[in-house]
Amino acid sequence: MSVQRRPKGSYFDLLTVDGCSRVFSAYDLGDVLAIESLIVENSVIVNLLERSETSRKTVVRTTTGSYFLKQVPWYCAEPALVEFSASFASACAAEGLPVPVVHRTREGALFAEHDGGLFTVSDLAVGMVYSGSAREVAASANVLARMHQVGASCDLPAERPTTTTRWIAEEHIELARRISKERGESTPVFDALCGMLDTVECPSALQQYPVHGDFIPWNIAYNADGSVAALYDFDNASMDSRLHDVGEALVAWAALDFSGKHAGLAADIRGSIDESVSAQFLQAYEQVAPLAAEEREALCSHVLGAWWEALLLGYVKGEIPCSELRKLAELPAAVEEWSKHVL
Amino acid sequence: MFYSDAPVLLVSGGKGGVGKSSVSAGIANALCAKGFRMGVLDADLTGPSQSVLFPGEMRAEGSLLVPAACGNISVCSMGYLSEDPSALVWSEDAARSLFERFLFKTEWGRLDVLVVDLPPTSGMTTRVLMEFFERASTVFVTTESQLALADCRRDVTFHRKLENNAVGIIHNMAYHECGACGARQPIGASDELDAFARDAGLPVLARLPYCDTIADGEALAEVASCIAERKEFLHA
Repeated sequence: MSVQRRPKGSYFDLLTVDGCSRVFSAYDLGDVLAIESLIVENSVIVNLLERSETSRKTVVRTTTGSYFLKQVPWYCAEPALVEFSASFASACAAEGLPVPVVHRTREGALFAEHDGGLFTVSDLAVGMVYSGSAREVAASANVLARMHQVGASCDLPAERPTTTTRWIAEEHIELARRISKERGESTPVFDALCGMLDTVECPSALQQYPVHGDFIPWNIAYNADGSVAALYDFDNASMDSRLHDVGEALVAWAALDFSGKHAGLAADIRGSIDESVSAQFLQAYEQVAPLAAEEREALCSHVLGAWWEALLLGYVKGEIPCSELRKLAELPAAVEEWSKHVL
Repeated sequence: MFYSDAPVLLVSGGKGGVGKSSVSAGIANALCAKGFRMGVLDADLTGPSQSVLFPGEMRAEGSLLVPAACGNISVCSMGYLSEDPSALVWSEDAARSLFERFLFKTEWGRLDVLVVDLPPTSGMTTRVLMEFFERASTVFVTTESQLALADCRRDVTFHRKLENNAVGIIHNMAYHECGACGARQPIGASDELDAFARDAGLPVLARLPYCDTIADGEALAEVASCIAERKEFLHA
């Protein structure tokens, strides 16, 4: 899903016992005793209040255990989308992937509606944040490949959202263009990117998979040995080529510089892809689920689309200055150069 | 060992910027120097200062928090756990859970006194925190500005409503001490502060110089002695 702007008035305070109790009244998970924003498990400290940029979340302690309650982000808070994403997550959990189980309401739904918002309740799974180790890179790729394997054969709701890399790129270009006008900033880069949209066009014949849609290190928790403890946040799941996830992962792991504050981007755009990390990720992925020849051919367009998406979003969020955006027009050449060495 | 029944000394005052955090740290240091095993709980969740005054790191051991260890002082502060605490939105329920974790799911070690650095305003945070203490004593930090005294007056009433033991007033930023000759230059007159203290029936425990680090010096050592010798302050 593309990230549209947060609508005014969509705020719902998940930080009260009363509010959580109303959501939990749809579930058979006991009475709410307390809510916790600071999680301490397995020698890991997680401050959930710092991770509420797009959706509010809290741990709810009830008479039957502790659960992770999350408000579905406003840009994908439609019942059909949530049913799809939560079904996909549940299928992964059922096949033994490290994905927290999504609980069903008494009526069998994978989400609860309350006060105009949609909420999911899942098991609590805590791990360490990405530290940059090679083991974490390989483990992440392994989980992604297994997730695609599960997705290829699992039962999912008939109503399935679809995305394409080109559509996502267009959405983000237009969003960034609107923001730049509001900020009174002027750059010709948006027109230039629109003129290059064919480079992110993907052959429609590629096999379609359920994809995670936001497969980045910050949606993964790790164990001390570098293995994946939990894969979170299926909110952006859709049907697409699996290159959607692979391209996004390659960009997130190998092409972005982060500010050190969660997933915030560094103000300076790096115009290259780390060949070693990207090769390692691809190798680990293909050990489980090799890419077809036509998929390898199309990978560059997904890497470029994901790169544009990430950086345009960084601009929208105020992490990247407008002056840096001109570099986006140089990324196609960087991707091509990278492909010569890695693909 | 979790916080259990160590005497609790609240450092309050109502007004922001009067030096509650600096005095809290100073009292902890002064008592520590007298051999007390000290804990400092920074109850200012959105504007924590103790992590700045006591640089260190909180960590987790299993499902327990471990305070930052600063010499013989153990410190818990959101400042160690958030890159930008001012951006965090705390509800009453979330604050309650956090304090429960800070007090009862944190390995404090054995404490002789827990100093609590309260946030500005006599509000939700203090009231929630008091749910966890059977009894506590409060020292009030204020300057002699009209606005600070007005807030402090309200704060004394608030703490008395909470049945906390009001110990006394610390007159902060009372004078400027010349770095060269040591001469003390008063910052304004202290008549109104003294009158307020009399009206409130509270002693002025100390008058401290203007400083932008941890409050220390003889004046606070005297407060520490007072607290050390008269532990009924803490057990009232």
